[in-house]
Amino acid sequence: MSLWKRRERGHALLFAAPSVLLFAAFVLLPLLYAVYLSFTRFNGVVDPVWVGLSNYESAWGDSAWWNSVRNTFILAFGGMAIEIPLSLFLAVLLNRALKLGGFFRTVYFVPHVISIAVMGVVFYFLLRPVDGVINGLLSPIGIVAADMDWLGSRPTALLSLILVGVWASFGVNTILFLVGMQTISRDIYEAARIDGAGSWKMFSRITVPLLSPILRIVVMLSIIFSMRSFDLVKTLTDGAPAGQTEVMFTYLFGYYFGLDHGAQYGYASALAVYAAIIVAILSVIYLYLSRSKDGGSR
Amino acid sequence: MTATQEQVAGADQARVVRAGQARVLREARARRRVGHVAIYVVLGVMAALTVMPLLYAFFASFKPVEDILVDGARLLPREWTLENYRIAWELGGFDQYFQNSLFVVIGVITLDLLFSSMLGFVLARKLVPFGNTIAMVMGGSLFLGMGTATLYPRLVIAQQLGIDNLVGVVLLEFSGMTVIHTFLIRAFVTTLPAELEDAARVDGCGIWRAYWMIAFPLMRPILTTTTILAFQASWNAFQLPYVFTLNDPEMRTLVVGVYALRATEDGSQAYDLILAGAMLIIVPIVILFAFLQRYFLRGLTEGSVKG
Repeated sequence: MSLWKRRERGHALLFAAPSVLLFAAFVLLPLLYAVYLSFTRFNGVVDPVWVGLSNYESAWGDSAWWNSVRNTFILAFGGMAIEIPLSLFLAVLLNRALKLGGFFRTVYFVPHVISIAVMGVVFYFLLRPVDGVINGLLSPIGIVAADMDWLGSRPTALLSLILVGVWASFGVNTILFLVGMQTISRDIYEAARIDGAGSWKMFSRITVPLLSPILRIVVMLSIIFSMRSFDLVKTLTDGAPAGQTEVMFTYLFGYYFGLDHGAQYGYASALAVYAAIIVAILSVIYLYLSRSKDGGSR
Repeated sequence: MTATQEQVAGADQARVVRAGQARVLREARARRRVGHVAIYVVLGVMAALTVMPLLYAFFASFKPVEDILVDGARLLPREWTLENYRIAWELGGFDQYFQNSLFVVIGVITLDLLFSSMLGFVLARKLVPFGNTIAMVMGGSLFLGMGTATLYPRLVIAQQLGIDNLVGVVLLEFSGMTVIHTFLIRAFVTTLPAELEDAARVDGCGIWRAYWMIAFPLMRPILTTTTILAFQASWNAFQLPYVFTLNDPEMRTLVVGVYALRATEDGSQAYDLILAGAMLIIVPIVILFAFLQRYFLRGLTEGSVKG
C-alpha cells in the first residue's frame, strides 16, 4: 500500500480524469443515447417522438433484418469451421521446431497487421469476374469458369467473405495455438511415445486436452469478433447482391447513414439493441466458459 | 568353442546388431526427412496463399492503367510505371489523405501514451476512489460490442462539441481503445515495486513527478506494446473516420479514400488509384511489422489472452 496522503490523492483524480471522461462521453453516453433513441421515431430534423416498443415490433417482423442475422451467424461459424482445424493443424506442424518455423509464423501473421477494410477493396479487385486475378489463376486449372462472378450471387459472395476472413485471421489463431502448445512439456510426449502412442493419438489425447483453455478462448473470441464484423462486408460486397449478404451491423448502418433508407435513427437504434443482446448472450457464454476452466488463464 | 571364438562371435553379433541399429536409424532419419519435406510443402503452400493476394495487388499497382484490367493471372508488370502513384498523390487527393492519416495516428498515440498510462498507474496503485468500480464499468463495456451501434450517437455528441472533424476522430478512436490499454498497463504496473515511488514521496515528490520520473520510464515494455496496438488500430481504422468524413472528402484518411474510390455510384472503379492508395496503407505497416515483429506478436498475445 502506498503512502500518499489524502490531499495528494486529490491529484490522482486528475490522472484518472482524461481517460474516464472521454470514456464516459464517447462510450457510455452514446450507449444510453442509442437505447433512448430505440424507443423513439427520429429523423435527425424533427425532435424525437416517443413510440414505445414499436421499433422493436417492426424489427421483429423485418425479414431482411433476420436474414442479416442469419448471414452473420453463417459467416461466424462457417469461418470458424475452416479456420480452427486449419490453424490447429498448422500449429502442430510449426511446433516441431523447424528451422524455418519462425519465418512461416511471421508470414502467416502479416494479414493481421493490414487494414481489413483495405483488403476488402483489394479482394474486390482480385475477384473481378472478367480478366480478374483469381479467376485468371483458377480457371486454367478448371476449378471455376473463366467469368465466375464471385460476388454476384449469395452463396459464392458469402463464401468469398468467409474465405477472405480466414485469410485475414488464420495466422493469428495459429500463433495463439502455437503459444499454447509450447507450454506443454515435451516429457509428456516422450512418455507417450515410449508407451507406443502414434502422432494422431498424441494430438487427440495430449495436445487438444491440454490446449483446451486457449482453444476455448480462441473459439469464443473469433465468434464474438465475427459477430461484430462490419469493415470487410462493407468494403468487399457492401451487401451485394441486392442486400443479400448484409450482416447485422452493415444492415443497421444503412438505417443510420445509408442513402436508401438512412436517417431512421430510432429504428436503427432498436436493431442495434437487438444486435447488442445477441452479442451479449454469446459474450456471457464466453465469460462462463473462460471462468469454468480452472486456473487455465494466466 | 574356445574363449577367443566366443569373443569373435560376440563381436560379430554386436557388429550385426550395430549395423541393424544403424539401418533402423537411417530409415527413421529418411522417414523424418520425407516427413519434413511434406511439412514444408504444406507450410509453403499456406505461405504462398497468404502473400499472393498482396503480391498481385502490389505489382498491379505498378502496371499501366490499361494493363491492370486485362490478363489477371500475370503477376509482374509488362512495363513498370509510377504513374498510378503520381496521379493518386497529386490528383486523387492522397497527399491530403496521407497527412490526415498521420494526424490521426500521431494524435491517438500521444493521447494513449499519456492518458492510458496515467489511468492505469493510479488504478494499479489504488489512488482513486471507486477505482474498482471504474475498472468494472469499463471492462463491462468491452462485452457489449456496440461499436457500430453507437456511431450515430457519437457523431451527434461530437457535433454538439464542435469536434465532428479529425480531432473528433482522434478522441473517439482513443476512447475506444483506452479501456484495454489501461488494463494492460494496470496489470503491468502492479508488478512494479511501489517502494521507489514511496521513497520519492518522502523526498518531497508529488504524484505527478513520481509518475513521470519513476513509474513512466519503468512502463516502457508495456507502453511499447500499447503504442504498437494504437498505431495499428488508428492507421487501419475505417468505420469511424468514414462516418466522420461522409460530408467532407477533404478530411478522409487513406483507408476511407481507398474505399470511396471503390464505392462510386456508377460502378466505374478507378483501380489504378485504388491499388496505389492501398499500397500507401499496406506497405508502411508491413515494413514496420518486419522490423518490430516481436512487439506486434506481444501485442497480440497480451491483448487477446489478458483482454
